[in-house]
Amino acid sequence: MRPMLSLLDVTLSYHSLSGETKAVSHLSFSVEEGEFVTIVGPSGCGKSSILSMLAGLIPPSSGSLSVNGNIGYMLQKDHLLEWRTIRRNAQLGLELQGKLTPENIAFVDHMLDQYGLGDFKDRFPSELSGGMRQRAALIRTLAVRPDILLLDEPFSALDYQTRLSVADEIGTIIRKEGKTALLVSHDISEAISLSDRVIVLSGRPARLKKSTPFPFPWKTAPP
Amino acid sequence: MWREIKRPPVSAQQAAFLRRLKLRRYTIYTIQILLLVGFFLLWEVAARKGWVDAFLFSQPTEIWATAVEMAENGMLWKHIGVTLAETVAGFVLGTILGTLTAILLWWNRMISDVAEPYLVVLNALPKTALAPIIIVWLGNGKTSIIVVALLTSVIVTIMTVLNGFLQTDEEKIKLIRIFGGGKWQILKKVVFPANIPCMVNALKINVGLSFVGVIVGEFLVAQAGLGFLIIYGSQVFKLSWVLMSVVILSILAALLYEAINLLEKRILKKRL
Repeated sequence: MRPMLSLLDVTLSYHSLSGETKAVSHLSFSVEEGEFVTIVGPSGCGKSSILSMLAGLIPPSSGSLSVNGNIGYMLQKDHLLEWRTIRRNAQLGLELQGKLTPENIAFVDHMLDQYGLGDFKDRFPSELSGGMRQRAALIRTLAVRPDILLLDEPFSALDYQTRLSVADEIGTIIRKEGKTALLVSHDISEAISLSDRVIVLSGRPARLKKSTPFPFPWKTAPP
Repeated sequence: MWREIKRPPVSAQQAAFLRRLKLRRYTIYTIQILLLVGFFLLWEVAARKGWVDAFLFSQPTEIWATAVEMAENGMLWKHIGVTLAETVAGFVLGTILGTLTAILLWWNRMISDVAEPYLVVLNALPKTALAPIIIVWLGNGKTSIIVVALLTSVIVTIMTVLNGFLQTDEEKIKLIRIFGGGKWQILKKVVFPANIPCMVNALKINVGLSFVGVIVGEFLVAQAGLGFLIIYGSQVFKLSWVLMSVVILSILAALLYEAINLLEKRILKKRL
């Protein structure tokens, strides 16, 4: 297996008027193809910054990153655009990348049907529940056919009960689609139940503390 | 496996609640209409009984007679048309120009930071103070009046719309960048559509401001329009002309405001 993502001795600092803040310090790890890895660490330790670097939104201050494939990124909140229908929201990424072909449109419609949003295609986001909105956001991410999914606490904005079911749903969808995933979370139980491996980071600046595999068989074969 | 959204049926209590709400709305309408009718009635009676000097205060029946007479010889329509056209041109141009400038300032933060103190001062400056200069520069005509109307609304539009643009959810902008979208796409897909309600609001404010600009312009240029009618009427002591113009201005302002309300509803319904 080849690594889909790797960080080598990455350091990131933010600059502001009041000084320099080190967010990530000498961090190295990699994620293999088809692997579901979760990064856990205390709040504000720079976990999200790691994803932003991998997505190419901010460059590292030093060190190197390598990404083999297309990135899909899911944010904490669904950020569905309120003035677009669910279908048009799900097509947003395709639209931005100039890939709104009939084939891709059919692909989005198929996913909406498959993941229980078929009847809500022409509804607006405000008419959907939190879990449904998060699912629509996942379809929007999957529509551009990413090889690697970056998930930035995508369940944290949901209430506990919805959160359990949505985490379960989204974990299942990601495995079914055979994607490589890197999840950021501060919830250790969520990390263990969803992923093949958990990377533990220290407080800010983020350093690697531990990397532990959790090869529970039920993850690959649903009960 | 997936949950469905269920619509609850309307219960008796809900129906009663809705009825109460409706009743309250009708009561408010009735009181509003009674107030208006009462005001004009009191004015008429006061003028007839000599409580106020009818020569200085005119009276509703006389205003009506003046309006009918001027409507018959076509003068009324000419003046209304002039004022209305100038006002619409003023607030439409003011809103468009203000929005375009706001886009420019949003696009380039350097320009907006440089422009900031000037915008603050220009916003506080009474724009009508510039009217005489504009008339000297652009001549004694419609162009000057429209420019004055535009000036009254353009600065506040820039500030309101720019403020809305800058307050757009950063995470939504990040979403566009994640999909590889650049600044133009951030503007087109998120910043602009997210701020359409803000721009419609600016348009609403600009209706009032544009009227101020037009009337002041007409006071100074004095060729046609309701502003001209007001200033001319007061000079020849035809107070019924003055008051008729004011009443018509109120009606025009209300109609324009209502038209924009309708436009807003249509836009918000359709979205982008």
